[in-house]
Amino acid sequence: MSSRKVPDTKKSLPSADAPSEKVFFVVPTLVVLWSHDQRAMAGLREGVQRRLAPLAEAGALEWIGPFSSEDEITPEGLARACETLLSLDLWRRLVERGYQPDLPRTGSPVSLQVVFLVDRMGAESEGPPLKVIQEAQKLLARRARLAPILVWLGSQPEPAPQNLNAYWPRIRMEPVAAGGFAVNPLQVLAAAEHLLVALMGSDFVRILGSIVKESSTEWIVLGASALMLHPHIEGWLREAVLGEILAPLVAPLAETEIDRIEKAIGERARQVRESLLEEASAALKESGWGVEIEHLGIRKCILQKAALLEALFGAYRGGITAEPLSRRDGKNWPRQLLSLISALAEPFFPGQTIGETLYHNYRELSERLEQWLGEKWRGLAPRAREEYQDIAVLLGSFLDRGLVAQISPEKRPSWWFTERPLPAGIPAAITALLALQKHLCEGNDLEDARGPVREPVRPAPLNDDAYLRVAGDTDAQIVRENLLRYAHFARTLASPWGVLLYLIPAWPLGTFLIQILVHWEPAPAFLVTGLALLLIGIAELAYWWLWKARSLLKTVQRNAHRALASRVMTLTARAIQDYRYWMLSRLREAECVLVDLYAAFLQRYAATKEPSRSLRKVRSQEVNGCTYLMVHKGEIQRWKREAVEALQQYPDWKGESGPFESAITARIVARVWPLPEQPLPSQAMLEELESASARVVRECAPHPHQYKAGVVAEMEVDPLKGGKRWNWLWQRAYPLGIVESPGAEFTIVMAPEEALSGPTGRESPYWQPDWRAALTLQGQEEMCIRGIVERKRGE
Amino acid sequence: MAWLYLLLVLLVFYTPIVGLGPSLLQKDFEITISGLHLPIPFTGSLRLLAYSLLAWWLLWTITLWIERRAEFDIFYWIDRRLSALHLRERWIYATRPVFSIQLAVRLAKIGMVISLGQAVGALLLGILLAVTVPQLIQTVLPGLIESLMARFPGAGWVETLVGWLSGPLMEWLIGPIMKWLHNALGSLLGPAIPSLFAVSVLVFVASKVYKQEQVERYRAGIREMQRRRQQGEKRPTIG
Repeated sequence: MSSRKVPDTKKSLPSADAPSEKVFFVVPTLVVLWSHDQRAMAGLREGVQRRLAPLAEAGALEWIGPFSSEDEITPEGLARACETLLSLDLWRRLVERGYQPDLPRTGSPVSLQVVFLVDRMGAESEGPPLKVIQEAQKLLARRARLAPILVWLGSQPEPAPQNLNAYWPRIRMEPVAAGGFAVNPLQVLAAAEHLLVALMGSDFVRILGSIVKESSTEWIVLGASALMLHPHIEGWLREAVLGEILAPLVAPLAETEIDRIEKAIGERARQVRESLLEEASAALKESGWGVEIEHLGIRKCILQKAALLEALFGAYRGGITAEPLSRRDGKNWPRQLLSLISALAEPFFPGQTIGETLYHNYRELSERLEQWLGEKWRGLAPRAREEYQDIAVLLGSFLDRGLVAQISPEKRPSWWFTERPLPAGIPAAITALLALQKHLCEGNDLEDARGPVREPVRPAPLNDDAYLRVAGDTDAQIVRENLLRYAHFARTLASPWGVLLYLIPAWPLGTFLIQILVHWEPAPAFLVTGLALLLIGIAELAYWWLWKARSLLKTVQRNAHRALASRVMTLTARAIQDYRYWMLSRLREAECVLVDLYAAFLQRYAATKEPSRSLRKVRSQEVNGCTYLMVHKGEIQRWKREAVEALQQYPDWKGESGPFESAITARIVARVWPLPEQPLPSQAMLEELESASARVVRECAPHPHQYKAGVVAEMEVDPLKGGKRWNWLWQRAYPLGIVESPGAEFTIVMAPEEALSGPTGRESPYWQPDWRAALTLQGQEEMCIRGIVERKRGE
Repeated sequence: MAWLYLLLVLLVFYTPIVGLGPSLLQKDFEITISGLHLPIPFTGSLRLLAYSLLAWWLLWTITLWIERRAEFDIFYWIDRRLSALHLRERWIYATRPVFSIQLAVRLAKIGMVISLGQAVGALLLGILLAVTVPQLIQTVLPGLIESLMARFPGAGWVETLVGWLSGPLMEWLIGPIMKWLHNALGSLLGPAIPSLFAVSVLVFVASKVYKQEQVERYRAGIREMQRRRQQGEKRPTIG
């Protein structure tokens, strides 16, 4: 390895045993994997990437493979993989982050480290083409200088592979320990992972170079052990935080709560219908129809357009306005009587154009109720939109109570603030949505309350121009038929002159009869008979004309007008139904969005249970024979609590749309439903949530000086306290491999500077004086690598 | 027109006090027997009835004939001239007020019944007055007394009975009964009865005819209306 020594930088880490050289610089590394075991290599790669995350993120770590045949690996492919490490941007990044002191000098090639990891522990495969790195070096010529390192997992190859000497160091780890003990291949892989981390994240190669002489060394047999923080803690913590955040959102509802929501929403649905009817009544008034409403019923619906009334019913409209003849009016009384008599005597018959007139009135009404005019709807549309927004906000309050503040005080539901407020969460919001849809689907928009019995008004089947035209013609015919009924009746009534003509012959007859029966004189009999006939005629005329005919005229006018009012009500019901359907369609969309979100959240919440359980159960423990995973339970509890609080108060989200109770629900309300026009897909929302969760978990992470494997070991793990961890590390780093010609043995420890100082560091009785310490990037880990040099045969 | 002419005839013949009725009523038909002119009672009323019926029938028939010949409906003409009257719609075709419209006809029926009843009553009373009671006084009762005396001579009860028959009964029949019959006959044969009979018959006959005329005029009116509608229609043409 070749690294340039430069004065210390912020990111470079000090070394304990070389005060003058307490820096090392990272060399971009390409790892070439050669193995049949794809899964093992993937695990290896993932572990190294995770532990060397800063380097991996900077791009200083590249991987190719795993290859298992010579055809797959070519010098060209290797050279191409190296190209990414030759990027000027990468090197600038490395300089900026302090991983390199400066860009390479002009004219001198860039140094790259190539680790050729050969796994021969599993199925026998053909020998790796070690020469490929030399050929790639030729292709890269003067651009790069490759430093090849060989890590051989498996028994010693016989004969030694060609080009073996081109690699330095040449490291071998076998599933058989130096004493002949059998070792689990998983331990070999774990040791290989520690070794790779040491190769790339520490000064290990330089220290090794200072201990081992390359020319006399065939192989270096190594064992490695590590004391590290549990690698999955952060991931599990992310899941646990996510689970705690999602739990109240996806909590199921009890039946009683569902009933309470349905009842409360039913009341609101009725208010929506009443509001729409109230708006419709205003449109009706504008169209000349005076209405009185009571809840959902229309108690009175009277045509008030004088011109239309005149065209339909003539001057007298006693059956519609029900104005009694009033003697108090003085002068008007005779005029009214004359007007009445005239209307009775000369039945009004509407013209042929009343169908057209009615059509125009219906169209005007329909347009006032629901018409697209100048890029905006008029009539019920603004009210429907306003109501939808109000109920959307109201339903959104089931997600976050903070939304209640956005509802106007008069529409704010009082039941929200009772002793037992309604439940919150996505299931509650969905239940409320479904309940609202149910209540808006059921029942009637309008009731005809003009009569003693309230009857539902069926909406008009259509409201297009053709329908309105037909409705106008039909209703005109109804008006005509009713007025014709009166005309037929009136035609059978005699006038005073007619009655007089019929009564005249009765005069002499009556006179003679009185003379005969009562024996009166002719003159008084004549006079009395005449007077009697006059009274009879007047009485009967008054009865038939002013009582019967007037009553019938009123009845037919009332019937005709009732038919017109019924039509108007059906058109109104149709308009209300249309807007109700519009609201239902919007609610349906909202339901889909929420259900989708709920399903995604629920699934995600279910997925968090296992990691959360793992987080609860996890303890500091030894794994795979050479690794001790440390868990600081107290710190994790604090970490989790703070992360949950931070996520609930996530400032990027909570400040977005007003005083919300939770940042998560604020985000849902602002980006998914009900505030945004274009809802964010649930998966995107979930990704945002996961990203935020990861961010707060990272931000709430323990202080690096507090949360280190060594510190945790000293605090939490009794067998490792008081410097015993050095002993544990040394023992677990037992060299893996049988050495034929053993040379020097060495121990290199990679630990942060502060871990090496003090009574639990170098001053510990468990620390051996011949151990060497290497600088390392891994501030939270402590590693130990033990090795035995296998000398070249014949030396 | 039947009804209008009825009104005219009533005005001319039957108006109390000023009508021609009373003078005609007094002119009974007479028969001459051996140079003696004997009036036939009640034929004056028949004369009045005949004259009035004839006048009414002549007027109605002539008007109807003229109308048919001239294809002219007088009521259309009147309605055009005096449109406010609406004679056709508000009189001819009208069926209500039922009581007022039917009153004259009903009174006519009542009058006929009364007058005919009174005529029958007068006839019966006349027979009683002129034949039955005088025969009883002059023939039946004396014969009865004689036969009783012959069959039961010297019987006490017979003498008592004969005394009652020839005394109080005979006086009762000759006195109060004959007077009552005479007065009753006088009241039944009052001057109003013939007039009532004549008017009733006239009104009754006229109403029957008028009803038929109503129907005919109604149908004619409908035919006329249909004709006018057909004239006003645009018939489709081909080619």
